[in-house]
Amino acid sequence: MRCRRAVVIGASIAGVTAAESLREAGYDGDVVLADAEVGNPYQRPPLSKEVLAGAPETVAELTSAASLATQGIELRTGTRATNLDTTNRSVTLDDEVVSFTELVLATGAAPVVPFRQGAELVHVLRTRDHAAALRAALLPGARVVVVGGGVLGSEIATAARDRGCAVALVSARPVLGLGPTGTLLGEELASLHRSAGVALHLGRLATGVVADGDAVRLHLADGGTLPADVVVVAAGAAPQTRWLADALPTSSRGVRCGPTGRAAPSVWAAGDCAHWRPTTGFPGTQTAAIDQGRIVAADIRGLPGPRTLPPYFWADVHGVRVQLVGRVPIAPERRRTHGPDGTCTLLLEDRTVVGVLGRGAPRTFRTARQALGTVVTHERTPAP
Amino acid sequence: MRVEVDADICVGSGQCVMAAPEAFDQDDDGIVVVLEEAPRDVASARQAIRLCPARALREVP
Repeated sequence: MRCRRAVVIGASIAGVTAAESLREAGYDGDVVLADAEVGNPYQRPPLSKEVLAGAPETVAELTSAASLATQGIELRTGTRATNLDTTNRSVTLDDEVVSFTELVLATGAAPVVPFRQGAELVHVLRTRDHAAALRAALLPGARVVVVGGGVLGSEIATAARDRGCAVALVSARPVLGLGPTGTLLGEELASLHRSAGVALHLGRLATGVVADGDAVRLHLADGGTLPADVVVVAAGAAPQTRWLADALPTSSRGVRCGPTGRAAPSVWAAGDCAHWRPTTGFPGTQTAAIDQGRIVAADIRGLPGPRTLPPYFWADVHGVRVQLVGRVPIAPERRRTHGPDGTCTLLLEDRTVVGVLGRGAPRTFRTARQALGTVVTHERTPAP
Repeated sequence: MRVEVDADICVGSGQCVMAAPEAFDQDDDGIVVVLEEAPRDVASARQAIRLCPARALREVP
């Protein structure tokens, strides 16, 4: 019988989880884990938190080549996948054509800079190298302009303030967002930034960057400009699927997959390069990538779907840890619940707690999250 | 199997407690506490290790 070989492309959280879960589930063929970057596999959430704040980059490491080797997983770093042949079940890794019996695509996403002018003058934050370059540029007193009103923008603004920079945050949207919390915390985030000394420019669209002596100027659609020593763009990321477009059904949201990550016979995709329908958890987050890696591994082994937990999301904004578990319904009814270190918000749908949101209240959150799935009975009923 | 934790990188999600409540707990600040260094329910402990969003748990022989 032909030897089995699973090839996993992309060694961040989705790919590493898929490879390790395959072994845990008893997969007995070869497992090859390839990544275009060099060095030990790493995860992304700490890059915009601990690493920008100054912690060694090793805090983001997921595992090592040695640890993977003990699990029978061959790590190939600095290896770019360039071509997929679904008919012959082979993938080109650098110049080598590698055949597979199962392929897992976990190539993630790449930052998008939504303007052309001066795009080479800006920082972005997606990889370990990006984080190191940005951290080196965040010098005390530097004028830093962050473009992007989402979680990454807020975390970069936080790190820049902590490092003593003068920070402005520009967002095309009028309200700040934070990952899967959407705009629920828009007002609170704005006031956190203002209290921390971040100048907010909401509802202003960045159109380009122009060099200005040793510094630069960010141009805005309304005709205004902002002077800066450092411009960081955190305005979203696009799935890295261009090399697959001839081989698989893809869209701007990624490789089209079914509910267990299948994209084609013998091909699965997980994490930020994948568009699962229906989606799992909070798309684009760490727990979704973990779940998808586990689900793909189980599907490859022909096992029932693994147990999953309500998705979790966290972010750190100016010393406030935002935590979310469960899901965020459209226009949820909200209830506050009080605890020893603050309040959390229960998000209700049909009187059932479907999400719990905390900010700066980890003790209260620990207890409050146990309310997930419960029905809230002591409703304030209107007077008859 | 035994479990090691890196409390410094724990993000207080509580996913481990949901997956393996006999093996893990959280302290007042939500940080992981190991109740059983050698978990009796190995399958659940492995799930907890795998589900940790910070990868703060590790299996050691």
